[in-house]
Amino acid sequence: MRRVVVTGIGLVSAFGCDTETVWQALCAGESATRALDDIGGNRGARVIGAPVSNFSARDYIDGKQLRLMTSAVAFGVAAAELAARDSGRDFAADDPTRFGAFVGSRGHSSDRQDLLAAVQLATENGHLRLDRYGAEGLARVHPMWLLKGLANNVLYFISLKYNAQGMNNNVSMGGIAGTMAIGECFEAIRHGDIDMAFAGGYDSCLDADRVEMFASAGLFASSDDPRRASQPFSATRTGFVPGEGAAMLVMESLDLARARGARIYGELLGYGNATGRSSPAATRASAEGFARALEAAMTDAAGVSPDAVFAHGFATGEIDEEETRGLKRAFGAAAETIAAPALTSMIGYTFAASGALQTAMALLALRDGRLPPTINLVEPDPACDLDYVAGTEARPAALNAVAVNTANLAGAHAALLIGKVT
Amino acid sequence: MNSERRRVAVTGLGAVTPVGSTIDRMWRSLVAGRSGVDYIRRFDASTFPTTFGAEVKDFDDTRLPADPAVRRLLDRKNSFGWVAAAEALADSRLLDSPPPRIGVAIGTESRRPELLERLAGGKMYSASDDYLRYSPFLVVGVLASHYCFTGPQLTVSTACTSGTQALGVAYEAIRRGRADAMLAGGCDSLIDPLMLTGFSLLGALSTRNDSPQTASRPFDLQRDGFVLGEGAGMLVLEEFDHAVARGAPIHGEICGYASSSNAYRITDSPPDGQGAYLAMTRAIADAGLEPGDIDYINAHGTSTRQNDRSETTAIRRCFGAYASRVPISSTKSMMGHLVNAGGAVESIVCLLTIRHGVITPTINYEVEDPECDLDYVPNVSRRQRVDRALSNSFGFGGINASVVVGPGLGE
Repeated sequence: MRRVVVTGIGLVSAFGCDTETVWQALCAGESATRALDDIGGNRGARVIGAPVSNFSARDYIDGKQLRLMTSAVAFGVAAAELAARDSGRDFAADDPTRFGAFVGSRGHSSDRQDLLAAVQLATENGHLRLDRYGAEGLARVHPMWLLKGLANNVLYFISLKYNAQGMNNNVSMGGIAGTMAIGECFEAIRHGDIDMAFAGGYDSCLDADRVEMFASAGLFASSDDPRRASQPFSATRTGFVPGEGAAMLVMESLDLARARGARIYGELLGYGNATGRSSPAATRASAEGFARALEAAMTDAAGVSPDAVFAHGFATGEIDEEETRGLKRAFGAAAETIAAPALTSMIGYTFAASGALQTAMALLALRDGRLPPTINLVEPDPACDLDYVAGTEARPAALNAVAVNTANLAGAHAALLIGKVT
Repeated sequence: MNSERRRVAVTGLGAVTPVGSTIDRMWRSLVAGRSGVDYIRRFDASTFPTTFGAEVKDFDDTRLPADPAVRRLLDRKNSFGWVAAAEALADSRLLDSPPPRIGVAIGTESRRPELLERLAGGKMYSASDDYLRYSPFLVVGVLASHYCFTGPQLTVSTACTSGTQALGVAYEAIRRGRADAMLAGGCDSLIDPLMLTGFSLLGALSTRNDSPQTASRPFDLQRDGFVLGEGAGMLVLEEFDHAVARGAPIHGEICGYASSSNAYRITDSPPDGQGAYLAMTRAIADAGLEPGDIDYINAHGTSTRQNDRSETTAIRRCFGAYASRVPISSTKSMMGHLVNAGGAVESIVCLLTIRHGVITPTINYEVEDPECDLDYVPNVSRRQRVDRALSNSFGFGGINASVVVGPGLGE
């Protein structure tokens, strides 16, 4: 099997799009969470969120294409462009049929603004009159409505722009989608399906539809102090803070990277994807699932154990306990010595982007030998008793391998193991 | 264990389709060349540009889970998926002697059939678990939980290519040693006012409103678009030796898989068929075969002007002179386009073709298109031995995938 490395990182995040700036902000324990009252259609309800900042899609995407994209799709496409630039690779010189793309996607999304005129025309007493909608309304829907919401839009635009014709996938697995896209890409390169690819994830939980959906589920954090609202592993945690963003990596075989003298951030060592045991009516992340995915990744990496874990840190009641128990189960007594910071404390939960963002930051942690903190962890939950790097300062650490730990809302788990290239 | 060379048997099949809601009923309809297309009955589509579709008509909802909480989570497409999965698992008897790592890979995406009505009423969400109900990864999650599967989960969303891609990823997971068995397939339901709107506005649908049964006519000169369908196809894939050791029914084998991207336009297929050519060529090579070894192609064959022409060009490029001799047919001529489920159901059709030695037809084929001049097995089934079959899927966004299946004989 071939070795697989990362040679480019592109980020669109709550701390902007410059990778080093984002990393410094996280290491400085800054908070990007704040009160938002301008989310369209949310009837003025206050939501604490962590929106993307310092980002202008037009800097990366031409205006004609941009009209076919939701804002989340633009995050993903822009992140790929940033990763491409960062990699220094001349893609035009490569065999397009051995160049792939693997995207962790938010899935099909529907821009309700594009439907409203048609619906209003056909609404009578709060009900849709289908006959009138079909005859007069339908033609008023934005003709590209379906394509704008296409689940594999980011994959399409990336393939088109860089002429990536080879093996691909578009994973819509919520919070583990970005992790899986990187893992599936790792598999495709190491088994020789392709030589290089873009891999990562994008998402937004800050459009009206998502905000209403999760608000009705009661999963959001509430706090009088929005900057301190995201409190993974804390006894005072109240829920997750919705975030958004994208992270894309350029991945290639080690041989290819070395042959062109590329700067190498790190190496993919292992990938695990597993399910824990839970009831179908209450599917959720579990200690068993967290442990299985991490164990599978370690086995895949020929037994390498991580020196630190970039934690899932969902920040809702029981999930943080499950993660803590999962880490103990996977690492045994060594769990106490394995630091597990949660980026969610600073940038909120970014769903399909989360695993890719964690991976990108894990690569920089390996490079710099330091771990960002988990902020807002002042009152530890007795059931969450590991070392989460509580505080507001980065911690120097000797790191040779780092794990990325993720789960989705229906009980699926994925983990990666990343190492320094030696 | 050489993880690169593990073989992958198919030991269970399940289907819910517009021409029958079990494998047997579906197969009988396909062999008879029966159309599952008719005027839409689930809602009043009489004023829409297209008034017909291929609805599932004989769905048995007593096969859904008894637990009301789980039942509420399953929308129409996921209900199809659940029932097709139950059929495939029962068929395979896998749960009598399960290997340690069983996973689930399904091609699907979230659907919101009631979105327009909700927008009219002003209340978008009514239940606290709506976020699960509308998640594209819900169905893999509940299936894994229900059957206590502990292996990998995957949802693929590449529109019309999802089902084939899910099957391909599941095959790779077993072949490369990441799982011992996988429940794999696709499920979808597109016959609702919203999807009818979306596809109509793109001009993708047939508008042959005076004759729904003849509207899906792949490769025929008078074709004018595809027909929306719904359903699910599920397969149990299993490491070959495990399947043999437990005496499992072996329906065949997944031998090769590849995906590709057109890197062209978002809905149009390239005139040179490049992406489709690449997927077919790589899948055949992955199976260790030559194009001449393929005895039957289950075409993507959507019945749109462009797809059928581009696919024909791609087949010509891939197969050379043999292209005019290899039988090709489109299941979509009978059951319409199942989108995320299409590739899974069509791979099942390929396996049944091998088992029964019968190639199911492309119905409604009347007038030859000079640009589509291959053997499309017009209108009636053909008795013919098939050992290796290729199934093609091409989707919006330019993503393609092909799978090669074989009889699954021991060495």
